[in-house]
Formats: sequence, C-alpha cells, structure tokens
Amino acid sequence: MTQTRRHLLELAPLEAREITELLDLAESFQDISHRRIKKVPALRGMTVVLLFLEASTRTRTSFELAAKRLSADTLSIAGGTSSVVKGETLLDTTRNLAAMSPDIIVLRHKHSGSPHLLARHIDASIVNAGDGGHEHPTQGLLDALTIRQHKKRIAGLKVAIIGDIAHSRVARSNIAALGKLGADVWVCGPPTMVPPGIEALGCRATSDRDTAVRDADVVMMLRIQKERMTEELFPSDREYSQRFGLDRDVLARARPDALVMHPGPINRGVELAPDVADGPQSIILDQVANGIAVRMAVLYHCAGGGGGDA
Amino acid sequence: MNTRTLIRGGRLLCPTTGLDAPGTLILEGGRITGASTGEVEAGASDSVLDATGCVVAPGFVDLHAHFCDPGEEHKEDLRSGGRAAVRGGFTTVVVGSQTTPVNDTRAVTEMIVRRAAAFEGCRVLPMGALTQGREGRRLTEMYDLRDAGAVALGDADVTVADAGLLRRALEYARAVGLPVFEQPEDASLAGHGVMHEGPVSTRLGLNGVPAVAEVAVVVRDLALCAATGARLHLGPLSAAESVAAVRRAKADGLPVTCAVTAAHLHLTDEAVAAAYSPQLRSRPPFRAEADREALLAGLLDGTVDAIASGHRPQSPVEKDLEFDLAEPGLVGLETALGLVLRLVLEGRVELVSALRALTTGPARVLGREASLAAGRPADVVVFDPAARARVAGADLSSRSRNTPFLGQALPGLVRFTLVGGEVRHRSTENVR
Repeated sequence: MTQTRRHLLELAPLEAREITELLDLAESFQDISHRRIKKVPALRGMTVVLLFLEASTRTRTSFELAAKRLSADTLSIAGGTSSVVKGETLLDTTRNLAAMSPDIIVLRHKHSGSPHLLARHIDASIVNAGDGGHEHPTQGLLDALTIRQHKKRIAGLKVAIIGDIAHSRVARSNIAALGKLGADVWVCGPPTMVPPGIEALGCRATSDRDTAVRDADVVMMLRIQKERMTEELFPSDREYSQRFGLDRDVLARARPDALVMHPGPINRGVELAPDVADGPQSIILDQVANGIAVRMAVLYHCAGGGGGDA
Repeated sequence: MNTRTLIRGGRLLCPTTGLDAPGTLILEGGRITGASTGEVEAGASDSVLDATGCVVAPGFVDLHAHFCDPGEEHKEDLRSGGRAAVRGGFTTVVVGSQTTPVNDTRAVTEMIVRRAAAFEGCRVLPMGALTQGREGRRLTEMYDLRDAGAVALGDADVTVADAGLLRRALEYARAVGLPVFEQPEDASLAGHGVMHEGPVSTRLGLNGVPAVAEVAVVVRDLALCAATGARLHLGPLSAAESVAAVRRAKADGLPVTCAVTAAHLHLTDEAVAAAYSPQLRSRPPFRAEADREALLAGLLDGTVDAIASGHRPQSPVEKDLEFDLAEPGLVGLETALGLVLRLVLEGRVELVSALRALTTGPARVLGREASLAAGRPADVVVFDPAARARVAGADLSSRSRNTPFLGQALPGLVRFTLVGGEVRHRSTENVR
C-alpha cells in the first residue's frame, strides 16, 4: 500500500534531474506568495498533518503557509501537545493520525530514520522536515534554489559549509543537493565535528577555515549548539568563534561576490558576526522566503502533482 | 531396564576426538557408549534414530545467551529459551547474569538451575555476576555462586569500568577456578552510539560506537589477564583490532579465549542503511566489512574459540521504535547453525572448523569437553546440512521474533537434539 505513495525522506538517493525538477517547480510557485490573493486550489480537499515533535518555528510555519497557499487543510501537532509526551510511541501516534486519512504527514523528529519508520508502516505520504542528524531535505532544496537564483548556476561553484557537520542534517542535505548539481562542496569544522567518511557523501573536508573559505562562491555557516560543549566537542564559544566563525576579515578571503548563508537560528557573535549576518552579501532572509515555495513544490509533488518520481 | 539408542546412517563428526566417518552412535544410560563404523544390529528394546544424510555431532555449546528469566519473561523464559536452544542444536547454554534481579547471589543461581532442570530443554548453566548488581563497585560471593552452579563470572553486557576492581575480581576468580567473562565496551567511548561509527553512521546521521570503545577495553583486560594469570573470556567481539590483540595475547601464552556471534560473521553496518531497521541494532554493533573479515580470519586461525548465538530476545515494545530508541539485540539460537553452514557453503570455512567453534571451543572455555567419545554424556545433535528452511516467526520456539533473518532460507535442519540421551527436539519439518 505504501509503495504507491510519494515520499520525500532524503535527498541522497535522488538524481540531479529530480532535484532540478523540484527546484523548477518551486520557482513556478514563487510568484503566488507575491500576489494579493496568495492561494491556489492545487491541494483543495487534501489534508496535511504537520507533526513537529521537536521544537521548530521557521520550518513549521513555512510548511503551514505552503500547505495553506495550496488550499490544503492543515493540522498542526507540536511536541508539547502530542500524546508522545504521555508515553505513546511514534508509531501509535501516527497510526491514530493515519486513521483520520491525511494525505501527507510532515514529520520533524529528533531521531534519525523516523520518517523511514513511518513510510514503512503508515499509509500516507511522508515528508521529512528534519530527522535527527540525518537530513533536512526541504532545507537542502531551498538552499540550492536560493543559490541558483543568485548565481544563475550551481555547477562549478565552490561552497563552504562550516560548523558542526557531524550532527547537522542541514549539512547532509546540502552536500547531497549541491554535490549532485555539480558544486565543489567543502565542509569544515574542528575534527570533533567532522564525522568519519563524510567525503563519501560527495564533499571535501578540512579543519582549516581558510582552506574552506578561500575563493568560495558561497559560505554557509551552521548553528553551533551550545550543548555540544558539554560533550567536549569544543572548549569555548570564544575559541570557536576565533577559529571557525565568519567575520568580515575571513569573508574577505572568499570571492568578492560570495554569498553568506545560514539555516537559522543564528548565534550572533558565535558562528556569525552581526555585520556579516546583516551585510550586503547575506541572503539569509531569501532562504526563508524561498522555503515556502520549495515546500509548496514538495507537497504538490507528494500529493501526486508534477511529473517523475522523487 | 537399560535401553539403547542407536543413531544410524549418519556422518559421525567430532572435532574434539577427530572422528569423521559414517557409522552408528550408540547411547546407553544417558551416555555415549560407542561408535561403530560397521553394522550394528538393533535389539528389540533399542530405539533407532535415522540419521541418513545427516551429520551427527556433539551438541552445541553457547557461551552468550540471555533467557530473560527471572525478570523479562514476556520476552523469553527458561522453558522457551531451552526449547529454542535444542531446536537450534544447542545442548548447553550459558545464560547471562543480566536477569532481574541480577544473578549475583547463590539464591538466584540456585533458582535458575532448579527451574531449568524441570523443563525438557537444553542444559542451562548460569553465569554469575562478577560485581554486585552488575554495578562495578563490589565483588560478588564467587565461591557461593560457583557452588550453586555458576560456571562463569561476568557482568554480561556491562563492562567493569574500574580497572582496579577488575584486577581484584580476576585475582579472586582465579582461586574460585571460574573464567571471567567480559563483554568489552568502554561506556565513555561508546557515548550515545547506536551503531558502528564509520561512513555509514555518518550517512545515516546516527551516533556511532567507535571500534576503539571495544579495543581499548580488550587491551586493558589483556594486560590485567597477564598481570593476574586469571582465565579471561572476551566476547562477543566485533572489531578487527580486538581479534588482533587476542591473537597476540594467545601467542604470548595468556589464558585468554574469545567468542563472536554467528550474526557478526554475516552482517555489517551496511545492512543498517537499508531502512534503519531496529532489528539490526545490536551490541556490540555490526561493524565494517573489514571487521567482519577479521572475525572470520580469527575463526580460521583459531584465535576465535567460539561462535555464540548472542541470543538477546526483545519484544515489539522494545523494537517497533525509532532506531536509536530501540533496544539492541537479536534472537540467535535458532539461526546460528544455519548461519554457520551458510559460511561453509560459501567456502569460507571448513565444516569441521565451524563445528569446533560450536562444540570443542566453547566447552573448553568452561573447562569442559564436548565430544562423541565413549563415556561422555549423550549430548548429541543430528542435522541435515543439505536441507534448507525459511526462518519464519511462527516456527520459532523462542518467545521473541527479533531477528533480521526472518524470511531468509538458511541451510541446515536439526533433525534430533539429545540431551543426556533423551530426545529433546525432533524435527517435524520435512524440507529438502
């Protein structure tokens, strides 16, 4: 039964063609958000459940707006209000939801592979909105779209992703998307945050920030999570900021027209200096705006619209 | 009346004595009384078991299994575990100390021994805990545990973190005369890991258990083994470097033995990648292909003494979860022989070497003997290596179904398992 459903669990297995099709679809949805009536009837009568078991504002609201602009009925369930906090398992919670016949379940959960678990057991399309340290496919797509719109291409660009690569789903989805589209992707962080075998995903790895940033077309900074300090992955904010943060001096080593990106939320002054975050090279708010169009495309695709199988 | 049992028509294969010939095995009074390569006339009162096309070998000995009894009887108990064992050809099983309450006192050991004897399964030999509550702080009453029937001392799947305490435990156990079992994994290095740390865990975004979490403990324990002279058994092992360290220690003459599980000889971390299946969550984790190859090489050169089932039942409550929330472990008693025979069919190991690691090797770890020699207890397995059977949940004797091999056709069908001359398992399946 579930085989006939279209899911978006991860970008890693997709082909460049499929990613490009989703980006093109997203672009075609983009102008809807700039109309006075921001709604099309594409998913009218369909139900989209937003099951967010891990805190998220940006991604949840982005998916919710995307679903609503496609005229779908949405149901938003957050971690604090769900039965999961009462000890119900993820499968039981979603089986109950599935009994109410939603068409699409968008899942954000802190455990890697949980969307795969649902896809095996639940008769609905599953969209991964971030699973643990595995993938955040719509973030990877929206980042690719934002880069493509600014640079008119992705192939041949040098993209540096700097931060806690080991625990970053954003990094994995970006490596998959940008790598397949022909970018030269570099990941960078202290060795405690660069996991073994990351190169196999299609990138190069270094712990030298200058190597990563030199002549880069895009510098993508990842949020540094303070709780990693208790795991002794890095000694202090201060040293992290000095050795792996991005300020104007470091950015000067990239290409003059380099783009600065961040999936948010930003730790200002830790991984990203405020004047860079708000500076002319920053396209952080474009990322957010593109998120809605990309999620409209993904929901539309999973609901059966568009061509091909992603 | 003294009735005889004749096992006729099979290939008698005993890795301990070196016997390998077609013939008839004669059992009497619960013991093996002889083996004949000629014709043996059956008397009127003799019972005859037809072993045509089968291998007749000493019953298998398992060093690493958990029967969950007392404590988690919804997963397995002494009756179901014993049945699963004999269905898999095992006649002797060492059950881990990780019961609830922990098997750290004479009372618990005696209860396990007494209750197990009431069921017609395998021989159940308890492992007594090495430290009270398996908490790694105070020694157990090891003499008492031994006298109650414990055959080994160990904290099962918990490593003794305190090296000073482990040293004292090894010294004390040496006088008690029992081997110390340690499943090596440094908790601080393992961290929140749920699978082998490597390119696959990186791809899946799951926390990894690095191989060094095991190797560091193995190296420490071998140094303590050398310092104390106590008998040390390590396992189940999963990492290439662990096997290399044990190989060197054996060459130095240390009294160390080790085991791997049948599943670790087949599965690697790549299997996890298929779909994050919690059935593939294991402790120790399934590691890289190079590790699997090293475990096999260790089996071939004798570094690895025993192949264990690693039997660790879990119910759906513990398994139908997100991968990193699921409990580790898989049931193994009823698939171990099939997995070992698969290696034989693949040409990776000779049948007699494989059987040695299921019989002679593990028995010696316990200071015992598994053989078809006259005078030995009649613990015998008769299996058809050419038959193939599909692993089906409904067929398993274990109370749990947590195996990644469900649905796979494995070679080998156990026709008869005899414990002390009694037929404890007789296959009703007729698969060829």
